[in-house]
Amino acid sequence: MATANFWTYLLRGESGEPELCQDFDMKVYRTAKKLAKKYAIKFNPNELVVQDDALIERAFQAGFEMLVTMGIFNIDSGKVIRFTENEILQSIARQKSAITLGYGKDAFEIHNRKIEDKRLPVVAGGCGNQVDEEYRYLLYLGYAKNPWIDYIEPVPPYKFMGHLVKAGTPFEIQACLNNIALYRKACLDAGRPGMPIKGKDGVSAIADIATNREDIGYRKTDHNNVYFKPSLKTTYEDLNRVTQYVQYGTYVSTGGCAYIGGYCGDVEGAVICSIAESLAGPMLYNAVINHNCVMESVNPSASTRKSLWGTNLASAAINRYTNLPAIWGAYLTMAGPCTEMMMYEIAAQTISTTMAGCNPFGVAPNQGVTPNYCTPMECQFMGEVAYATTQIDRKTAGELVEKLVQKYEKALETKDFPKGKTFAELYDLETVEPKQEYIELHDRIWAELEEMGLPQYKPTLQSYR
Amino acid sequence: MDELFDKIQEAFEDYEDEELVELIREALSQGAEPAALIRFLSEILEKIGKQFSEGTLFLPDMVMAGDQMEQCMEVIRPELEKGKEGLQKIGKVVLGSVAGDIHDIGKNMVKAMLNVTGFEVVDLGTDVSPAQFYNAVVSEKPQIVGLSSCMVTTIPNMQDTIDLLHAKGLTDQVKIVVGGGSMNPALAAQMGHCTYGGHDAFEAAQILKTLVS
Repeated sequence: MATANFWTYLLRGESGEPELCQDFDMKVYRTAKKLAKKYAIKFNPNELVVQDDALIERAFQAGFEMLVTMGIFNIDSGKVIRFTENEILQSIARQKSAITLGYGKDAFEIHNRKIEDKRLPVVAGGCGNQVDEEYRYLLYLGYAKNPWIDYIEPVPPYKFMGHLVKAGTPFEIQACLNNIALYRKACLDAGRPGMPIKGKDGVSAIADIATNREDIGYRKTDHNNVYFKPSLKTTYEDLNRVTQYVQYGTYVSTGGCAYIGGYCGDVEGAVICSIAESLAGPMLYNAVINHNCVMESVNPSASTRKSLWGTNLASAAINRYTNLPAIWGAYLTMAGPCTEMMMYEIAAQTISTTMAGCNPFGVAPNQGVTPNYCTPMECQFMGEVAYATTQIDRKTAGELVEKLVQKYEKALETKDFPKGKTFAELYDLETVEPKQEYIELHDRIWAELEEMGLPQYKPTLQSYR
Repeated sequence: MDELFDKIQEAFEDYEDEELVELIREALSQGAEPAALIRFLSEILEKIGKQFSEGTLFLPDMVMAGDQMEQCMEVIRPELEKGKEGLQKIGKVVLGSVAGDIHDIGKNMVKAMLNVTGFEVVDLGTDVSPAQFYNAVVSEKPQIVGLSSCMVTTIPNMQDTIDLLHAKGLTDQVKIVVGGGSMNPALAAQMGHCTYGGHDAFEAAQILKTLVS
């Protein structure tokens, strides 16, 4: 259905009412404020995992009304793409609740999970940090041979023949192809040739499109990301990506990435915009996989109380009232690998998002900006925490997240984040296994988590009855 | 007059544009010094900037505050010219996201923060080519040019811009400040001829203030 309506929706961005971008932005701000008041959505710093189902329902209604009221603004045409209530409801009703990714024995289904869902989630690894050429294959091999990780998002292209890769150039296209080829080789070497790839980020549309090829590039059994521009906006570049994805026949993933302090206003407005974008994704972008992310923008972070509460609420609302499989876990941490703070951040974010029904995805340590500061261990730990979260209830999850935030929030105030260590420092580069130092930290943190009330996931015969 | 200034502050903070402009006219007609009025409005802006950095006000508030300041200045400016007093901006900044980069939320936050800090900002928008930056530096003669990159793959375009400004001999006349999600101090140092613009919009404004002081 979504594909059938693709051109209808797209053409509304040509014939819709003209608008100035800055006027649209200010309308988003005012509408978000108005809807937060109308639906009584109020940030509660003491309830980071939302317990109130009525609030989750109201947040969904507010996001729905936001999309009907504002539509999506095409920055390039300067016109608004509108959707009716009925179109949104039809879109929700026809969404698939599971998508098969990968092929052969390595294929798996990613499901729409509900709040407090007891089913085990799919775990997506990878990170946004750049990685030097000499370590890239080993890093991919580390991910691919880790049994906790179902699939990964490749790291962004970094260098090509010794030069930094430049967006929109032949070097970027070739670097992207090389990057995927390296990932495929790592999967093959790990005995998982059909392991899929989570959509790539941070590259231009031309490189995205050029790497969609079955032989050495992205396959139809992978999924490609395309996002909205903040807040509730799109561009021809994004729509060009979607047009090619639709014709190529691959899966599209999108999400509601909303920024606290931007044109959504405070966290309540960001929740509303995030939900609205997730509802628009299947219609305008043909998205079949979703995520919700409410991020701080003035001091960029996903680990603050506001960010945790906002991501949890928006995710819970979309996961409860739509059928879309969601993928979001602990994407950004402020601290670096092999530090206690980073482990606490991962645990807090993952418990919160898994409890809200997401399949976990992450981790980009040090906000994803320090080259080589990432390892498979962060993703493994995220996966372990996500599995463990299926054994607890929402109230316990809330208590755990509260305790974890208390352990690191002072560092957020002082902006004193431990940088940690690099992949080469933390992994044995011959065996591609973590060194003792990281294993010890991992075990120590798990002992702490168990003490706090999060038992490690250890299946017993009882689990299979 | 104190009561009138209180009303101006209230109208400014409540975004009552029309009332605010009327109050400014009234204050001038009652003999308020244009320079004193500007100082007073600047203090309100500074307070708004502080609230923004603390997370209690948001980008739209900053944009509205900047617009209101401009509306007030339109009324005050003719009076300033009569008295031959000049409006003192602390510096001029040319700002933009580099070629290939269409992320603008961070850049817009920096712009809003610089506006309320007292800078004159010329915003070139997003996906700005090295030649466009060069032309703007030549025509606008800023003290600072701010380059934003939020993608790893647009850092080389940032380097191209710096290289062009340096090759044209402009790095002696204008300070280059780099920032954005993909930037860090080590990378800035590696690129040369530029200063790292900080972790967030508030920090950026502080760094730029230091650069022009």
